[in-house]
Amino acid sequence: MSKVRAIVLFTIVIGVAFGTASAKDTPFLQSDGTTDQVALFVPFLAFTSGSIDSAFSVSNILAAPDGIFPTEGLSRDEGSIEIYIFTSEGGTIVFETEDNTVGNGVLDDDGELKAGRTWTVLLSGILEAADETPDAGDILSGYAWVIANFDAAQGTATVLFPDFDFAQSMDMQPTITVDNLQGGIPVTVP
Amino acid sequence: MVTFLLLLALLSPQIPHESELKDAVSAYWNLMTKGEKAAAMKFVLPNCQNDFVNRGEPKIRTWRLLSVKPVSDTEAVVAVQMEALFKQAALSAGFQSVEKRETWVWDQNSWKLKVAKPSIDAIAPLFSSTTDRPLPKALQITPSVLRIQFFSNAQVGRLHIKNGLPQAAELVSVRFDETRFDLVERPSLVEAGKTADLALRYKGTETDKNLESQVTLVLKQEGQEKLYQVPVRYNYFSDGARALFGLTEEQARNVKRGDKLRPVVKQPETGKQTPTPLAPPAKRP
Repeated sequence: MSKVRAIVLFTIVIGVAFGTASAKDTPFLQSDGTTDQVALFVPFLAFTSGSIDSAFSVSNILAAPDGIFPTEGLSRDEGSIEIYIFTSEGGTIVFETEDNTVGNGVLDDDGELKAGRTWTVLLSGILEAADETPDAGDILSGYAWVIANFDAAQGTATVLFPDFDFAQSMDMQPTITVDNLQGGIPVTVP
Repeated sequence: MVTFLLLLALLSPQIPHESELKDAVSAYWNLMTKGEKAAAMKFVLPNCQNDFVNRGEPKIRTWRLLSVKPVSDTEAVVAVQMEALFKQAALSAGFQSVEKRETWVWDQNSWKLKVAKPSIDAIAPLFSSTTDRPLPKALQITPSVLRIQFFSNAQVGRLHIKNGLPQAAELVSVRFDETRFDLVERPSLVEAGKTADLALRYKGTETDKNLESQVTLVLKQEGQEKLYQVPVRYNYFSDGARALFGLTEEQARNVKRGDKLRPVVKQPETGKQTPTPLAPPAKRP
């Protein structure tokens, strides 16, 4: 079986697994509050030049209706987005939004995402900005953590396989659930 | 009023062979609704037939023509509304009513469907619109601080010189600490309305974090030279990275290039709750 086909199959399995968890409203981790930064887990991503790419969306969900989030404990309603990609081979690729040049153009000049907005970006754009684009024919796959430098975020990751007429979308974890009204895992800076 | 409508009808673009187009569209969609894709292929442009065969199709229940908009004498965009069951959609979602727009081309005395092959380039604008965005009417350099990530293999930071003015800008000079950085990309000219990248690579071996330097650019436009100074933060290790890897400032300072770090996201309290007991069923009177 070719590596590309293996990735397609793996994506389906991962998608089904996380889709099932989301459908059951199973919180990935739970907490009672939020902090300046929140972390979101991206279960899978893949890229190979010209035939596979991954699309991410990260939303600043702090423009929520009253009553959704706690009224106290929120301190940062906009900020940059950091992406830490852990490749299948064990490498790490790091990207942080610094201006409005990567993605769909909704960030401000300092790369910060305001409340109520959604930043979308292709993995190819992140790799190009980080000077980490693999050589033609090489496949990059792995998982990632997204650190949103604001109080609550949600996101999706969609792996696109146009040659197979196929795409698989996954929620970044944790998703907002009925008994876990927060966006992302609150993290503290030691 | 009647005269106005008559004029409007006369002035609106007409498609030659419009009735043939509607007949072809109708025959094509009737076949697709019956699942007769092989028979429908005769309505597809010969050079698109392979992409048509490879294209996945939903199960179509009904369809109706919405509009025919001419693009040229030999090309029209046809919109149809269809009720269809899509693969990968939850079965409980059932048949969905969706609008589909496709291009038809007048080819060898008949109308043929043009099939667009799915590609990353076709999908990319949905997620990234950087090329279409107009630049502010100024000569601008972003980001305001050039950060070179400690974890990056490439150790490269990029400045974007955005020229939103109607005249080209010449990059006259670039000054930086040559003991620490290489210039890996340097434009000589930034055309009007374009963006050009200038890339610096950190070549040093220092392990201290968040070190600071500076890059100075001189840009010339319409005979006027202007100086731009951009702070550089190299071995950049953000608060977000310390949070993700659970490192204090001192621990972060001691991290060496090549160290394998594991995410240690703070484990939040789980807030265990006793489930609310179910009320006993009410007794029937």
